[in-house]
Amino acid sequence: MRLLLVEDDPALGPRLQSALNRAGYATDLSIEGKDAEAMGDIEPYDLIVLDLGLPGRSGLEVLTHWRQRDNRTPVIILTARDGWQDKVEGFRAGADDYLAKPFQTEELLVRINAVLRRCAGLNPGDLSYAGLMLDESDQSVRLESGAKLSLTGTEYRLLRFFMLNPGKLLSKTTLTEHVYQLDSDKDSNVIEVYINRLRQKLGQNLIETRRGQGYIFGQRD
Amino acid sequence: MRSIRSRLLIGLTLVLALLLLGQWLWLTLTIDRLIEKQLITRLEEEIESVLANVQLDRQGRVTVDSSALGSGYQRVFSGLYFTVNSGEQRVFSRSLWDSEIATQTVTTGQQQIDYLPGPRDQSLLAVSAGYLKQDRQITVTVAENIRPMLQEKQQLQRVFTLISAAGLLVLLLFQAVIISRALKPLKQTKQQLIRLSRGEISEISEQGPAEIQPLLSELNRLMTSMVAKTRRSRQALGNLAHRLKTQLSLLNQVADSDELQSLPVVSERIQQPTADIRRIIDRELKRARVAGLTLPGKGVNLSALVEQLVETIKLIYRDKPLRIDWHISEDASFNGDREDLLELLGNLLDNAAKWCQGVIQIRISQQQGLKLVVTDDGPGCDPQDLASLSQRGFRADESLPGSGLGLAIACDIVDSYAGKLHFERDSSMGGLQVTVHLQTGSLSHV
Repeated sequence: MRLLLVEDDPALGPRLQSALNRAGYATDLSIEGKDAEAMGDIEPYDLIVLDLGLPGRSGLEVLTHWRQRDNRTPVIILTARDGWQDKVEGFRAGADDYLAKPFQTEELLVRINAVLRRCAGLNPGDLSYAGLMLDESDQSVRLESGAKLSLTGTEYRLLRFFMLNPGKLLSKTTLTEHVYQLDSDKDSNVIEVYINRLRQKLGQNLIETRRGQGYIFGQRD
Repeated sequence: MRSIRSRLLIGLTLVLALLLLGQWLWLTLTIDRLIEKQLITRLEEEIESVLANVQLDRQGRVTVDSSALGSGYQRVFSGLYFTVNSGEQRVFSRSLWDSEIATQTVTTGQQQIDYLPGPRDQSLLAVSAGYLKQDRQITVTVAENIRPMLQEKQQLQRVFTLISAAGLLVLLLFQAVIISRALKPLKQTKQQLIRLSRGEISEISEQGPAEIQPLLSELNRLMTSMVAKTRRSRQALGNLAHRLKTQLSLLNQVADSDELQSLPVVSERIQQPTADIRRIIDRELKRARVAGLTLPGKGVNLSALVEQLVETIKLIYRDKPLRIDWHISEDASFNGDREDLLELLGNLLDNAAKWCQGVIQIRISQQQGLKLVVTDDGPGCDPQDLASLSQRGFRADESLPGSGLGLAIACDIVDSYAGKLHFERDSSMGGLQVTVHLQTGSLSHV
């Protein structure tokens, strides 16, 4: 999952970024309104965490512009101004959720999960598909047999992206874009390696290869 | 305090009435005196001519040669009479016929004036003078009937009184018109203040008489600075909250960091105070942000506000099937601060949404101010807890997340509008019913 974190505080931003990375989200950090707006339009993010009090351009404006340009990426607003005036404005501008500062990382992760699930058209709660259940607390997967397998960071991110997009044809590029963050070394062939590892752990039939097109997780729609 | 208008009216009416009364009295008395004086002068002349015709014979008997005198003395009861007394002897004019005038002897050189009854109901003014003629003491009295003149005078007085009263009435009318014209700018200002409190205008027209123009300018200046001040302080408070809370978030991040993973007690010790500080900031800053009843009032579009709020609440609680019914009566209006109302209603709705099974009702109506009723179908609240609901940070149930501040903040807002907040258990839906009464636009009742 690719995430954009827009937070101007020089101490909070990087800390939050690394916390999100640890939680299995490939997170880019932007500290300025206009930059953030451009990044949100260009990069295929799965979710954006947007602070409202930004230099350059206010978070609310940035969000309004995205929605005007039909950028539907889910957005969680992060703000200290949690009056109802701000909440109403935030949701009217097109936010998907709202988190008041100060928050605990755990809270933010729960919200991110919930929004991602909702946007994927899945029920809130634990992420499960075809007998597999993803455990987000320790980045592991539980099999139908009850056995628990731990996953590496990239494996976890890849499996979660598959499970949030079951039955869809996903190209290698798409997978790369959603699993790695902006500044990482993107070699789409590495994806093949991780897919093979997942197949070894979960079984060969779960991920189908479409030569020259990409991969399909689970049953085709 | 009595109004300027009634003070002016009463004062001016009193002065005018006194003035006219004085004038009436003075004129009446002056006319009386003038008539009397003139009459006496004439009668004195008559005495002279009567005296000139008085003759004394050798025995000292008095005779008057009436032929030389005016015809009035000849005609019976003509109203003009004379008597001449000399010792025991009395001589009357023929006009007196068989009646008499009670005359007295006046010493020589003296004059006496009497009002006497005359024949046939006549009222006589009699002037008597004493003379010494051929060593004999004689008193000549000439009397004239003044009844017709009195009647004429009364007639004149009546007419004059009527004219005076009519004059007073016309003057009072004029005075009322002048006062109301002079006070018109004040009345307009009052109208403007009412419209201002309803939010129909944002400032008062400063055109007015020199006496109140500075007052109007000052009022406008105060209002402008108050609006600016409210906006500035809200902005400053917002910024303060933003910066403080960002730092608190950072503290929470530190508490969650890897370095402290092995020391959960330390994490806990950091997170507990940050949660407390957040509550303190929320409560105090939100209380400070409440604008309350200020001028100029702003007409708030109630249905738009409720619609947006309901939309937001549904988005916040989108994982919960929520039905929010709302009804706003057509005459309902709110002239206070929009943000205050939004914050108040937002907190009440949030509380209702948190506890309800799925149905919330909002009813807004106009009942001596604005009446808001929010009802939910949740578990309600124990009777003994109802009173404590609005207390600072009180949470009747700890099982759901929340700061417990919402209802306390709602209370603060209601307080600043001199309103009332009432919690009860709703009998039909079973949940909590919150009723709020807000005083708005108190000036409109002036």
